[in-house]
Amino acid sequence: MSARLAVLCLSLVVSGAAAAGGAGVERVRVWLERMQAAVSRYSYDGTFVYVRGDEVSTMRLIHSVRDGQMRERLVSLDGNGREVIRTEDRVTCFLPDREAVVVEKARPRRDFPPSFPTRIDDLVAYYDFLLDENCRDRVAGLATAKITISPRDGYRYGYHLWVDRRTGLLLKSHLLNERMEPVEQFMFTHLVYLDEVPEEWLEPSISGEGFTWYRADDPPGPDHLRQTREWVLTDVPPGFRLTMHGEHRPARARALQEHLVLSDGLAAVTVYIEALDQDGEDNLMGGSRMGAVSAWGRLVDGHHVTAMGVVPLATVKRIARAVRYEK
Amino acid sequence: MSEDREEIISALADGEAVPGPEVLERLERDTEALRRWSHYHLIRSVLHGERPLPLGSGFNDRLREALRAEPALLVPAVRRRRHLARRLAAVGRQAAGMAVAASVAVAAVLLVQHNREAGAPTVAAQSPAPAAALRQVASARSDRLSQAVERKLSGYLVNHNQYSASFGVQGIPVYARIVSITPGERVADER
Repeated sequence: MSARLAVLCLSLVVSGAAAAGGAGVERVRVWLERMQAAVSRYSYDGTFVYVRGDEVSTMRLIHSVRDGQMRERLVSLDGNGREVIRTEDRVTCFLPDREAVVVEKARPRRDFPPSFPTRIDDLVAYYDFLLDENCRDRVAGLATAKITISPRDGYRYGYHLWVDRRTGLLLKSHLLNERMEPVEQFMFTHLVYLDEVPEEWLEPSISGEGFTWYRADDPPGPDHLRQTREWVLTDVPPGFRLTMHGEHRPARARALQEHLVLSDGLAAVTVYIEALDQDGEDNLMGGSRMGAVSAWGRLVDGHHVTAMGVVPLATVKRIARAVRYEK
Repeated sequence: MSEDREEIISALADGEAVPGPEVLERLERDTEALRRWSHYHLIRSVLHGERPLPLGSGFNDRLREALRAEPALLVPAVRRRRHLARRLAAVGRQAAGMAVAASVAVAAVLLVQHNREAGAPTVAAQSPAPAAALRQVASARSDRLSQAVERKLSGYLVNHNQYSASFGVQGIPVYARIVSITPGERVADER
């Protein structure tokens, strides 16, 4: 068997329900599970290139797993000096260019188990999967397997994913729009696996002293799936389901807000709802893009509604317009 | 490092060499080498049509200026696409010198001129790489968000990233969206 034929044989096309129970889906599931497990298994220090729109950034990512606890430090290498520190219970964003620090409470993992890729059987209704276990692309000098996830309609983005063939860690990804063009890309150019990450590598290089600190409030109650009587969603894009409804005051927001999270099992859209105040100058009206992130804002019964997600603009628009106040 | 830097990085970026630990250590200490390695990856991907062109900040403004100064070119679209291919090949040849921006800008001007004539907001399918970058320039409805709106959205984004990270593909550094500064733009009105 020639090498090319061998590669073809190992490239599995998984499409729709017809292949949902076949070996193809099982192989994709194995790789996606390896990819998910790698995040909570390996410590590493890497440099990656991040591209969105017409901007290119280089960043360093230090990821530590110790005694089942994950910590992470993300540092811009391009001069703006921004850093993000993630621990199990909070995310702290140092923004020296704005003399600000934004602190957000992290979602406890036990309350929010990643549903992907365990729901892959549901995903095949909305995405096609292609697996190349013998991908010839090397990323950061490492052999890869490549998974392509293609949306089957215009309401979600797709992915090219290159994962380390040895560890399953994601090394490179392209987020693809409805025309399968990359809208956001990341790629490690250098990666070192570590047994243990020195403590000082995980500490921010900025104290934040003299900066304005914005802290999100803790949710006043259980922040999990809770059906609301007041706010309802009608006619959302196919496959998107309400996964969470809670109350929260995000950092920089003035008042307590309701938020709803919808997901198709892979893409997530968050809807923020806040009562209108006198000012309102910070309310988004209509559509906006920030790189791969789309947002749509509108007024509903004396409230401002914002839908946000890494999805096409049509998706956040339809979801924002699906929000109704049930009197 | 400087003498063999180019050769090593080029080989690594082309996947021809597997770096040993000593090479990686040298690269780690050598910021310039690291930067060049990243750029080689970008250029290779551009040439393979995998990614948007690596345009720096201020590119849109420069492009608009170039467009104002550039007369419409009366050459068939197919010839322009060949011209683009030649330009991109030239970018590859210039990789060592990193003289990317000028060539890319010329190619982009040609593409936008083509779309201006065709009245289409997107570029030709044969050249997907710069499409995302150019749509932003070509979109007549694009507009910067006010600082107040952007501040509120960026707060939302920090919060939203938790859900994005939980549901989405595990391993994508979603907080790169916070670290990287890409201003939001208004692209549609609520009607």
